[in-house]
Amino acid sequence: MPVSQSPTIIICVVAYLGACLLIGVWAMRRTRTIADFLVAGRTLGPFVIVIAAMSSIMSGFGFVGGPGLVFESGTSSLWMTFPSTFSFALSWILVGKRLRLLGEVRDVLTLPDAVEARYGGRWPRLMMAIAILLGVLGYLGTQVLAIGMVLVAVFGVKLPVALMIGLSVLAFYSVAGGILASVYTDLFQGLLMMVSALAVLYYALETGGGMSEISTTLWEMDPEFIGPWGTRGPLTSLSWYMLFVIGAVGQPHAITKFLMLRDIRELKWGALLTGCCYAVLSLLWMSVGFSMRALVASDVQGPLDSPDLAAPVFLLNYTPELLAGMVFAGLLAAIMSTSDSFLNIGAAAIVRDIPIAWRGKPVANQLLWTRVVTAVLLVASALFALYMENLIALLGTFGWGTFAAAIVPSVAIGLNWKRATASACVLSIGTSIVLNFSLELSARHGIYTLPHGMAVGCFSLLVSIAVFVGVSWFSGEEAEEKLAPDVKAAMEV
Amino acid sequence: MRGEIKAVVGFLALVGLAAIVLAFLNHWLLFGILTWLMMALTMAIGFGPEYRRGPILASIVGIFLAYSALLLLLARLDSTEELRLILGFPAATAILVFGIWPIGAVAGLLYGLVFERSVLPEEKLQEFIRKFGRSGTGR
Repeated sequence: MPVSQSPTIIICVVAYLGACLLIGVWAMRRTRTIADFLVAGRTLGPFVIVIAAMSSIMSGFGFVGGPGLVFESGTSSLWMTFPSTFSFALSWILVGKRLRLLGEVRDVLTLPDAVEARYGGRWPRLMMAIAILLGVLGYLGTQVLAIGMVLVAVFGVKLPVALMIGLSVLAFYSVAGGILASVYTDLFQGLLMMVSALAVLYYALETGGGMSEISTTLWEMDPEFIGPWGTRGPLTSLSWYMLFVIGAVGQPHAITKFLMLRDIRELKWGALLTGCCYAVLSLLWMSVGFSMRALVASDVQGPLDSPDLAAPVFLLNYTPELLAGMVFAGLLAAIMSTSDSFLNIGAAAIVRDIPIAWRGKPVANQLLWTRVVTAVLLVASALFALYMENLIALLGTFGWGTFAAAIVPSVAIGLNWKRATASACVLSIGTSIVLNFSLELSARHGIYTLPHGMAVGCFSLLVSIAVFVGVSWFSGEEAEEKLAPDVKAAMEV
Repeated sequence: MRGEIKAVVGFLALVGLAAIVLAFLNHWLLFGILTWLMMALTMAIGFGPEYRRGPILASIVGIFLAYSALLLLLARLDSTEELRLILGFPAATAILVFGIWPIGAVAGLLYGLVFERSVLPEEKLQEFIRKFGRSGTGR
């Protein structure tokens, strides 16, 4: 990672961290109950939900890994970010209304709560909590590592020191202010990311001599790179598209935001607005990757040690210091906004979901223990990041696909189809965990890879849907009769 | 009506399995078209029985047809022989950037436009709150 040593960049990042702390103090005073901590007391307006959903999905992977993937394999990775215009709408259509209505009739603060309300019994809750916890551990580890790397670049300190600085801020506002601090920092962070993305688009195009010039340079280097499929080919690109368009409906850090909405009628324009806001962020993903690759191809810029350096090197070398400072803060915002959401759902899984599934009741004093576990999760993920990088990389890859394959059938389809059964829910979640983990692991060790570059997460999602529908189809004749009247009504509105 | 959603869900699972087979056979074009079909089917599941209403059904079918047409056009324009730029991108890539990317917003637009009539009619919401509501969703 290059080191900035620019006072302007350092000031911007320090100002950003300070703003997060202030929001944490403000939110701490308003967090009194476990419902405040986990779903902000269901008091959030539509604009906050839109920006929070958008910024929790746009993680460090999007701001650093996205341009890196474009730099490495061209247009291929755009098939991961372009689904967002549709995928957010699909989340609203499939689960927005259903989850919020369920939250109205039951004490639904988490997805495992929703699954138990829908299917009954402890196993669906337990399996959902385990899937979420596994995904959270991986994601959180990668995000924490990314926070450390960005702060190393900004402050020029060693990784453990950088982790200590970044995680102290994250810990303070997440532990003290819970989800309320999280969504309001998301709001601030999301707006910062959007302004940064637009400014970076301008500089990326200007530095590269305009899009036509960039395309021509890249075409001369390798026509496939700037072609519609990039260097990964059509099947990988399309399977990424399927995974990211349908799988987005199963990302718990985004869809639990529906439970926080103050008035269900305010769902109305959220789908369109969130998709459009995310599209603005995708501009950074696309423009920096293409521009940096064109600069390297035309020898204006020397080769990079790693594709992931595309965004940081571009910011440090080709944008004004103030903008670079803003974008570094935006980058940190992208990572921290995802991390705080994961901390929240991970802590809820440990303190609330697993104990309820195990012994029928949550731990006493949930608010206190959720705060404690939030801090413990953060420390554990920092230790993971420092000492178990390989495991983190594996779990990080595993995260999105597992969430997609575990949650899309049981929540997105299950809340809309009364014939769905508890056994189908449990089996499909089990399938998603086993398939994602075994296929990622075997691909990583060169034992077996899916043919023609098909994405593991996409394969697991399709199998998991088939298992869920198949089992329900053959065992669900009486499922509708077993539904509680309030849950049934929530599925019929 | 119940049977219809069951049929749509069943069809979704079958399309998913067909997509796996096509992926293993490397029939990427058909795999892509099944991707759009799955998106259309999940939309129909989300709208529930209301999906049969004229504007919603027409929009879902329209989105599927538009995506499929764009994919076919993209495949046709894809060439490594000659560089033809459209708004700064090679022609086939321009279909992705200026066609497939923005067209997804139609789904969000549709959701907003039919919200009061088909997604959450006020009378249905009020009846739900009257029977089961606890904290006053309808605030």
